Amino acid sequence: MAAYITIPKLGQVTTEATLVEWKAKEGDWVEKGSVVLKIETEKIEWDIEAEASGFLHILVEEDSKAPVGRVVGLIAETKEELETLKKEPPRQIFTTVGEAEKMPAEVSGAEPKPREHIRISPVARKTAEEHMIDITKIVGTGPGGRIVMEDIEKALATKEKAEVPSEVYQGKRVKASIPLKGMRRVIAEHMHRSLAESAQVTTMGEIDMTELINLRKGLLAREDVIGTRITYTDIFVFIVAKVLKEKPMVNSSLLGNEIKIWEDINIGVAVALEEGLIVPVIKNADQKSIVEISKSVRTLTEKARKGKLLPDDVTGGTFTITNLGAAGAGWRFETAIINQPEVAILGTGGIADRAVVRDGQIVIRPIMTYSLTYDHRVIDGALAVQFMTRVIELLETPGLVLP
Amino acid sequence: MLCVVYWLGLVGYKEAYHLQRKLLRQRFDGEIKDTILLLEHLPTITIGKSGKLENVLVSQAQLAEEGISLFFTDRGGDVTYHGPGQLVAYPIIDLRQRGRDIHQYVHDLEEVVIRTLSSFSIGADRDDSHAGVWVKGEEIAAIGLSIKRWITMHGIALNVNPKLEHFSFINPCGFSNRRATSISKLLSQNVPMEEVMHRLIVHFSDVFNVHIEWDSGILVGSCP
Repeated sequence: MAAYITIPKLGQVTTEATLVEWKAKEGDWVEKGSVVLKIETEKIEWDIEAEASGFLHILVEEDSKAPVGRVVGLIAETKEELETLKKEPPRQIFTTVGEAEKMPAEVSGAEPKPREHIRISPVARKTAEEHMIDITKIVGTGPGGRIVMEDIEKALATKEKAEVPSEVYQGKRVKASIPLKGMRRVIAEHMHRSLAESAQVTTMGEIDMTELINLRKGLLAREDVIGTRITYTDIFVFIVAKVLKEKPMVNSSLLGNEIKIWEDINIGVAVALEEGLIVPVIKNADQKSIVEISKSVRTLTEKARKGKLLPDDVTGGTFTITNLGAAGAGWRFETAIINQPEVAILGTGGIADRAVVRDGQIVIRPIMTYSLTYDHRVIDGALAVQFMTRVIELLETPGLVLP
Repeated sequence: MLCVVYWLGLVGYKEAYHLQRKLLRQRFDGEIKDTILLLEHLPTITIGKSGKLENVLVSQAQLAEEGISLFFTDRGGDVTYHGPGQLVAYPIIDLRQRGRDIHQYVHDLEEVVIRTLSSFSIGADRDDSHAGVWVKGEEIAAIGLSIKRWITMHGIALNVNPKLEHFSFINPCGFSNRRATSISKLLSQNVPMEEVMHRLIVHFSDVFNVHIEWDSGILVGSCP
């Protein structure tokens, strides 16, 4: 009885997933517990582990989409079963998710033994071929000694820089060729579509952070009482949520021919990752205390860095805040790209001491830059400036939040 | 037409590969003439584009013990073995000037080998379903090619006196029931590599209708 490889339901809104990469070839032996397929849904990459050991039979190819519950592969117990499965006409099998969990216990009698041969994953093979890596010298760290991508990458990193004539394209030498896949591809499509489909304008300015810095110092001093370390991001989320409540048009989406103004205020906070970026969402930020916001931000950021975000964590946002200052302080502005289908995004820069004029005098104040990109199809300049003015008012004089 | 021939001696698979890539580019740009690289490889098993690892019958440990390297490569065909005692010829030829006929090219390569063997009184034939040269069902020369923008690379591997036991480590060209043979085995005597090489080039010149020029000025492993 072959084991199923099914698309799981990872979140409330998840209806389908894209198959990013089969980690084994058709007919390969896969070990129970090893990662057999990478899928991607809502910008989350998810590893599916084999629920049993056996020979892989692929039903749905890479780069296709499959709905939740669809069986995309089978693991045959024996080679004979594999041959039988291969001969069957292509069929669509669905399971109610959860059904596929229970797998028959290990085969009674002799288990099919993995062959003594060298084994390698398709991606590792492709890369090894590209770089002419001597396979005899590679130690396979995959299941059963299989050679996997990491092993090839390690070999590439340690090999001496032997002069390699590079591929030349349009007169330029190629240093590396990376297929556009997974998170990178999702980001590429998202960013491009956002700019192509909306009318983005960015208004930029400065915020005097004197009062806010004092406020935060006070909060940090009481960290043990408050229960958490409040960051500037936490305060931004808190204050922006308040202003969105006052100016609901900025908390909306243009869907088809309708502007939907959202009741919920869900603020996304962009997190930079090695492979790209992701935006976990703090739901109902307007109803949360600063402490609750702080805890949410910390939990979500950690999950993001560990690759453990679920689709529910990154969907449903109505406004996004992105911290440009995280990459290094400085007087910097950026035309941040709106996170569709929202209508605005607030980018905050680093905080740096600058000379400013107060009451006719030149004084030194800690100044933070900001860039607010808004969709001019929905929001006109006047509203954008009103929104930002109110945000700045609250940031520069935090006490005004009290009423 | 002119064709320049280089004898490289014993070289690694990777180094020869990179040299071919460089020459292919130069040939495409018209910077050099048709070229043939003649060489012997260090013990190496290579797996072509349609090759399966299952046709490598031993473990990495055994390969390491015998000092055999293993590469995936971009030529057509399945698994093959190269080693000292095997004459490898890599013609880098511009097929744009030869009617862009790949089938004819393969046929001509086989013809070159068949005539060369004939001059040693060895009767060899083709197998219409599979490129290569056979003597009584045993493979004496493997052919695997890659053609990039109508310039050829990879080519022929002719067994003069290689270590035939090494062939038992693979299913040559994917065949589990065919064996490999060599000139020395068939003639029961050692034939010098130089002799085979020269006859091969003479027949290449005839079949391909080119004027040969032997050159010694090429360095493996030096690249722009």
